[in-house]
Amino acid sequence: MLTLIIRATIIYLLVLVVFRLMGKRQIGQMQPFELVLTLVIADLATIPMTETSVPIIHGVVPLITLVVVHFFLTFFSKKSNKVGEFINGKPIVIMNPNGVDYKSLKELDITIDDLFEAIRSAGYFSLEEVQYAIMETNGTVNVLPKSAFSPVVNKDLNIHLEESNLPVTLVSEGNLMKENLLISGLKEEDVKNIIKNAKIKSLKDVLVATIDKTGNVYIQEKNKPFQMLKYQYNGGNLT
Amino acid sequence: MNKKFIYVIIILVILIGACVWEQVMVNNYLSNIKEKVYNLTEFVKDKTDINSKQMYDLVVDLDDTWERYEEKLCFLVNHKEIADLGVELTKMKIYVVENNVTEFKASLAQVLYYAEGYEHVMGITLQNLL
Repeated sequence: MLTLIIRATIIYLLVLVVFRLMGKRQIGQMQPFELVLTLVIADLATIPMTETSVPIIHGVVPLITLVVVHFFLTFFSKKSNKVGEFINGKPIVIMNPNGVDYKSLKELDITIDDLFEAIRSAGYFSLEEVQYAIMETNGTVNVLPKSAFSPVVNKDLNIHLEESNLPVTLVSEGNLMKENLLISGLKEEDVKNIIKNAKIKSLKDVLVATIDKTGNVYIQEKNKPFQMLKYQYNGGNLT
Repeated sequence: MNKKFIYVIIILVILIGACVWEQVMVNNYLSNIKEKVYNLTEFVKDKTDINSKQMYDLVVDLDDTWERYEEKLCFLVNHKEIADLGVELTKMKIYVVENNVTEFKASLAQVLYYAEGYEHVMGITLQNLL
């Protein structure tokens, strides 16, 4: 049994490395061949994990080979559009201003019902609302609505707002994020002051604390509601 | 050149290196076994009595050599696939004690057959590739 535990751990770590090397795409974002590759990897990993007479190298070598081949395939598809098109295919317009492109539907082997489902997922419930619908290479459908049906944005109303900025996490589950302190230009003392002002006993009690460029601090104690604090903050000094 | 590219190239070099090392090792091991079997075959060719210490030691030597090689080969191939040769060698020791020349010679041929078979299975041949 110990053999199985050790083998499972080795394969787990290897699969972890393999997926890290393959990137962070989610299933919905994968190209068809990437999805197949993921399934093959899963299958390859299970054989040497459970079958003790099979050397672990029988799982390791094919896994590593797949990663190497995948890397080169991706590398060349990035370098050459033609290779990329051959491997991933190309986006196909399935709806245009004239309506549904039946030829494309047939080419993609999708039905009108599938098309309805796809445009509903994009937030449109009538074909009339759609100007263009494009089937991407990973199988998702992106929709460009007709101007009359597109949502109003601030620009349309001439509303000028300050650009939103990304808050920096200072504390996460009681741990001080030292790397983020460097990014924000704050010192440990500043974080302690924030915690004190929020009337939280110690750093360990803080669930999360973030600060944005305008000095807005979001801080929440574990099992308590969050608080918003406002500071004068110029990217380094906090007052 | 990005980091990932360098990692993949390193992995590729290691893979190629491991493949070459594997082939050299397998060929060496199996050639040694085959050579020992040929010598043994030659030695018993005209013999009618094999119940001797010398013969027993030769078989034990062959068995020990195989056991040493098998330990390493098990890193590369399914243990079950190469277990038969060891079984045959165990039988050969008994045949020497029992002075069963016919069975002993048959087992020698069997060991040779297995060694050649393993060479074929582990080698890079068109049949294995396709």
